[in-house]
Amino acid sequence: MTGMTSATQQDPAAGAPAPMADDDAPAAPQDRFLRRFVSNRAATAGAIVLAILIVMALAAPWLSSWDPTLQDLSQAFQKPSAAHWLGTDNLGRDVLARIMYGGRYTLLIGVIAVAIAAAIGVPIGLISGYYGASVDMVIQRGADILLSFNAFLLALILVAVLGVGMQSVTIAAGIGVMPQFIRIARAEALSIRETDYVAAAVNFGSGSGRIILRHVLPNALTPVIVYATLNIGTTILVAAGLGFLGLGVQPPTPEWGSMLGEARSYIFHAPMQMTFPGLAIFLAVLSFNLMGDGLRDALDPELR
Amino acid sequence: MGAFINYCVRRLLAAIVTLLGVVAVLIFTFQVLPGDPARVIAGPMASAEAVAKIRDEMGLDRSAVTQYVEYVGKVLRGDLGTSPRTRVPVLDEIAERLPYTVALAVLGTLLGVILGVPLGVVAAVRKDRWPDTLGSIVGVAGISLPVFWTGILLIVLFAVTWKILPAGGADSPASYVLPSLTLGIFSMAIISRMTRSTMIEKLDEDYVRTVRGKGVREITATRHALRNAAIPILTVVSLQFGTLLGGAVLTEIIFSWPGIGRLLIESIQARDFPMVQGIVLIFAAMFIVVNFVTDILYTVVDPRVRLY
Amino acid sequence: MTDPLLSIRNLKVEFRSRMSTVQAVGGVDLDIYPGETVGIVGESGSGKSVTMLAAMGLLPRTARVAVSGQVLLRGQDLLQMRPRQLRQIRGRDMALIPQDPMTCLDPVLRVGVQLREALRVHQRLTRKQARARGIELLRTVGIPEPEKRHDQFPHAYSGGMRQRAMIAMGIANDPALLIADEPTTALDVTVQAQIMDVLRQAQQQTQACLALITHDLGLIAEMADRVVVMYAGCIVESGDVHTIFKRPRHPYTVGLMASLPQGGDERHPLVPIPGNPPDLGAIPGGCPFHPRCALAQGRERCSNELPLLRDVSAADAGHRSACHYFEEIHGSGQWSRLAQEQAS
Repeated sequence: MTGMTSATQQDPAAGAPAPMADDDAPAAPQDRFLRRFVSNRAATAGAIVLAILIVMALAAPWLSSWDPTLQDLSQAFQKPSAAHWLGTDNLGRDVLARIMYGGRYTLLIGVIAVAIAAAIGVPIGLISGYYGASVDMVIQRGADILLSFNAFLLALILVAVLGVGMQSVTIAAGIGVMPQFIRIARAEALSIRETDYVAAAVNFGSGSGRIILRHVLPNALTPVIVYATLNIGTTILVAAGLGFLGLGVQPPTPEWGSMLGEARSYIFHAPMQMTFPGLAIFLAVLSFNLMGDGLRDALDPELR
Repeated sequence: MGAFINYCVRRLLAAIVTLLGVVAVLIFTFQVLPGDPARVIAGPMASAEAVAKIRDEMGLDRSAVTQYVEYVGKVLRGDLGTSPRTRVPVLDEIAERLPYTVALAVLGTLLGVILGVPLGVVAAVRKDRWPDTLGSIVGVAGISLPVFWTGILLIVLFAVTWKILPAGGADSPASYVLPSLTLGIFSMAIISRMTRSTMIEKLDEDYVRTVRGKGVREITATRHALRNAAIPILTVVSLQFGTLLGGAVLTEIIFSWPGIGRLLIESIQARDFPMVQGIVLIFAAMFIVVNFVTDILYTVVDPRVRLY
Repeated sequence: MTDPLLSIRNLKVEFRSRMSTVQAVGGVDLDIYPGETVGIVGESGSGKSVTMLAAMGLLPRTARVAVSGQVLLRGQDLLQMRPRQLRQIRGRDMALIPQDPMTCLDPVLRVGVQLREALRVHQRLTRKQARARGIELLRTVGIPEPEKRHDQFPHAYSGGMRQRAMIAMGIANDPALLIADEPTTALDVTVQAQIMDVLRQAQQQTQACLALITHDLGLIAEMADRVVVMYAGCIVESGDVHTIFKRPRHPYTVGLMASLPQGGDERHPLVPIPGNPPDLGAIPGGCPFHPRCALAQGRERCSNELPLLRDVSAADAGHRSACHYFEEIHGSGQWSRLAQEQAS
């Protein structure tokens, strides 16, 4: 058995291993997370777009000199001009102002609806997953029933009963996405229940309620937050859809969905009118989706 | 075989239980919860006698449980009540329009699968290169577009500006194009995103590397991954069918489509609770049926699933 | 002196992510001669699997993997080959028996179909012929009732059977080089011995050379002709199997040998190698082993200069060590006790 014919050389210059960094401690998880998020260009773009929309909504009174509900029929259906940057609608109202003020309603409804959904759905899901057995089965049957409809249908039914208006829409949209939160909270509770630190807490005699509050909830929070961000897009679409049907925020209050619904009557006459509310909804939902995706990728240890 | 039938029966029972639960929720929502459902249905203008008549006809003065049992009994006999608005049996109205809604949902799903799956596969195989970026953009844009806006945009483009397709109704085959396309775009976005992430996961698995080690062509390796990805993708396709049923409501309004979605909205606006109840029941039943079929299909397609 | 069948020269593999760059393999030279069994030993993360996977071109195909160097199979550089040529070689001239039989078979296809795939990629066979050959292969690796097993799905196989099926796929086309990646790691101890027999038999039948990648020194002792010891992506020692076991000349190898539980009447405490495996994203400067090496003792050369693989002695042909001070190592067990005393 002969050995290798050529002497094995390891070139000391090429491929010299990188020296160990001075700072031995690994970067704090928050820094790493932020870096990953920012390096995701799509997510950052989404965040910027959202920031613009929020600023427009909040600073509307200063950014626009027009009253969004001021009608001037002589100025109806104006094309974009120096006076009206986005033109006017069928009642002569300034479209840009209505878009900016409208952001307040649409965005607010979206966020609050998700907050409602999470506030109700997450505890239910955690309890269902943690306690298991019959509690779980009952809750799951209930969730299954709700999941038999999709979010919009569920919201539609609720609005049919609760009546129209901003409050109803918000609650309806929230209940519409709530079943998803139950499901995801339950899944988290199921896996966290099996961890060592929970077992340790049980051994120490901590009560279930305490364990859920102190161990299960904080650890389940991360995927819930990601899910919440992704679901704001859904609630906005649901609320806007209801508004479009005239079942949401009532005129003359500018809400992007109802603006789109009003514009629909004029698509043959003035097709431009439906562009901007729809575009606004699209951008808002898009930015939340991009950010939600970015959040999920940044928090996921395996970078896709 | 026995285990399979056993499983089917169990899933069927679960489906029925869920459906019964849905009915309970509906009864509660429409017949119990509102302050005076008879008044709401009759309308604010109706006389006291008219309200009383409705209350009597629909049995709204009885206890919730009685109402529930009565309703279930009627449903089993094929009677979903009568619409106080049109005086026509609810079931008849629904039966007339249901095919149109189902047609839209099916066409939308088909479009979604035909366009979405290849897009997702290509995006996964060419990950981080331009097909992937394009696919991701299409995907995230597709789910962010409001269905009702897409529909209007398509109408403005194809019916108003170019005048090559009808803007509404279901009279001609051509009229099926735009509504299906509207739903299809949304469906395609969901399916392509799911396909992409599932394929990426499967392409990463060990057996794909083993297959490459045999010296096969890259497309064979992709086929292996796709075969394994088919099962999760199937689940998503069926789930989004349910989503499309909801989206169909808005699409039907925009395109004046004679389906049950538009009927639902009209009924809600007219406070026609029996009709609303009936339609929602049908929607839920459809969704439950689709879920049931998917569960069964899953066990048939996946050789690993052993039924206990 | 025959030519090596496989010749790896200065193979480097880097994995780049957004956050860091990990050097999995840092300049490996390796020759494998026809008919021999080479054992590649190391801990997890030593780069032993990555080296052979890179040689076959089976690393994840993302932009994040950088492979450089030469891999010569019968004189042709595999790293420079066009994909079509490489595909002809894979499975035919070089075959991989991958790690973890539980996940290496496609769960939705029958085993026979997967065998048939391995065969038909490189041989012109009809379905019937492929089926017959597949059954024969299953029989060769000792799977009972091969006709029945051929048409079953992977989940009907036990772990040991799956490993045998993987071996069958590996030898299906009579390759000249078999690469077995941790063939026994995922298996029970009782099954391990059987698999080793199957491997040995398969090798004898096909006259192939075998690259045996493992962290199990017992397996090496039983099966290998030559041993290559890897640490942190580099080869730290190589040589004849008897020499390596009796007269290791690298502190890491010595540590490995010393950490083997010793049978017999006397009770010896288990001697682990102190410290932890290195973080491949931040490999220490100089010799990668020096933070854990009793021989280094803060010597400057160890922390500054990367040691090259050098011949241990003129007499010991083929025995090489990458340690600045390997001359200070004598015997085997003796030195480790010395190290123990010094450490305490």
